[in-house]
Amino acid sequence: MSGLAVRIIPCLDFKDGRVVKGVRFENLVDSGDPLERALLYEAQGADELAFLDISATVEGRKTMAKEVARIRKAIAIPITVGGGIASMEDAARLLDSGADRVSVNSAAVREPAIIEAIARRFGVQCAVVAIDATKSPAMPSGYEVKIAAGAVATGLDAIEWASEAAQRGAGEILLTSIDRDGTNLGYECNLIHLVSRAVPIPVVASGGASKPEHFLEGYRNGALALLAAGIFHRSEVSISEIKQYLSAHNVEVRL
Amino acid sequence: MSQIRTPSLVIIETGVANLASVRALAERLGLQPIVTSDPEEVVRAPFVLLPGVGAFGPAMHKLRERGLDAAIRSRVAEGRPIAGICLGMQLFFEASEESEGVQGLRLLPGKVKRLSGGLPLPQLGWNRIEPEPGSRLLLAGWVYFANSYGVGIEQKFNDGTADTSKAAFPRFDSISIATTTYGSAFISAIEAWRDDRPVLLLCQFHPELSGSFGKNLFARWLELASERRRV
Repeated sequence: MSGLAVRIIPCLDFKDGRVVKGVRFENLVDSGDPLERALLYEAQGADELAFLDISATVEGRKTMAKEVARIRKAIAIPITVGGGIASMEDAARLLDSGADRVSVNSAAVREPAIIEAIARRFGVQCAVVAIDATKSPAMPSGYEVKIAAGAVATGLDAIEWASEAAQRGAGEILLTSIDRDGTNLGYECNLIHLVSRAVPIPVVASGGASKPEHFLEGYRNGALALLAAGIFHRSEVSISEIKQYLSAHNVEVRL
Repeated sequence: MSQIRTPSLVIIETGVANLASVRALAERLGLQPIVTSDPEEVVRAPFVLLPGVGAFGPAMHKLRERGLDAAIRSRVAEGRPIAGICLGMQLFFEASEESEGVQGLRLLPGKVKRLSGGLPLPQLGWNRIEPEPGSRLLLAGWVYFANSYGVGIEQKFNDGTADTSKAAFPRFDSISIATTTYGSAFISAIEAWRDDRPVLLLCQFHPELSGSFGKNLFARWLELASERRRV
């Protein structure tokens, strides 16, 4: 018996101080002021917030740290920040600004020792490894890791990479299906199932959820947390609606 | 002390924790957060918080290096209130499986152990705390955890069964715990009272990340632990 509630995590993609959302990592649409969104989601019962910085500029990165600091003062739930973290200095700056955990993606593939470094200095609970995966018949598991916002194929098998990340001290895997991102087709359940069976750490499902049923599927396939973005930004489904649905299906949620 | 000054919460700087969330908690409570590694200040301050991120060994090392372990011990010996969060709770015990051979603050008997039960670790997310009957500060509710280690519920504090002979543990009038289940049960919070004040408030969870529940818990602690209640 776990007792632990499954977490519903709204994700805010930041570009130069605004929240944006795209489809398959492209065609970005403005979705509003980050602080306003954060407060709304906390009030709706979000269990945690994820921020993903997709700014391409140094100026954008600085704006991001300031936004995190502003939001930290206003909300009292955990914040995970990722996107473009390439060094310990980047990670430390965001943690100092008010992030509770940082997620590393491309940098972890290029230089896996950063996972150990973050875990050692800030604790394993701080070290989230984000994996963007896409279907690829050439891989043993059928899924390949891509980096640089999906632009660069790595030749790494997603399940093998997740296992290595866990061995190196990652405290959580944030697992996004590029194929499902922004499609509303639901999570890539087979991918979630394979990765959560392979690692002894929590897995967050991401990419494609648009209805309460999708969240239940993600949970039943082994995810301990369920992330979504667009459907919350467009107010298609509220967090409390999803939690009511999960609770009605005997899934532990914080209501 | 000047009456116009905003009351402060002294947060112990261990050099390994990120402190933005606990600072924000202090501000929400109307307190000025003062982050320090000065042992004098830690002994003197009306309210002290030992935050907790990082590993047991390095955190104890930092505390010893700066004489903060002695400062915390002398605070507790004098019955002055201090709170500990997550690792900051674990450090109050004798030792931890996380860093074998490192001595903790030894203000409470027992050893911190890796959570058992075969579930994914760390435990990340919201779980319930259930206070035992007689708790005056702790209430039942949902709180946020991020831990792989904890103190097992077999640990006894008050009923004379604990082997407290080998260490000089400070005296408390009463100790109540709250428990949480993740695979197996562990102690998720402790309130220790002396002279009708909650001298210790220890939380394995993160009150600063537990929404209004955490804020209300700390507000109650600050009120009940306040110096004014003594007169």
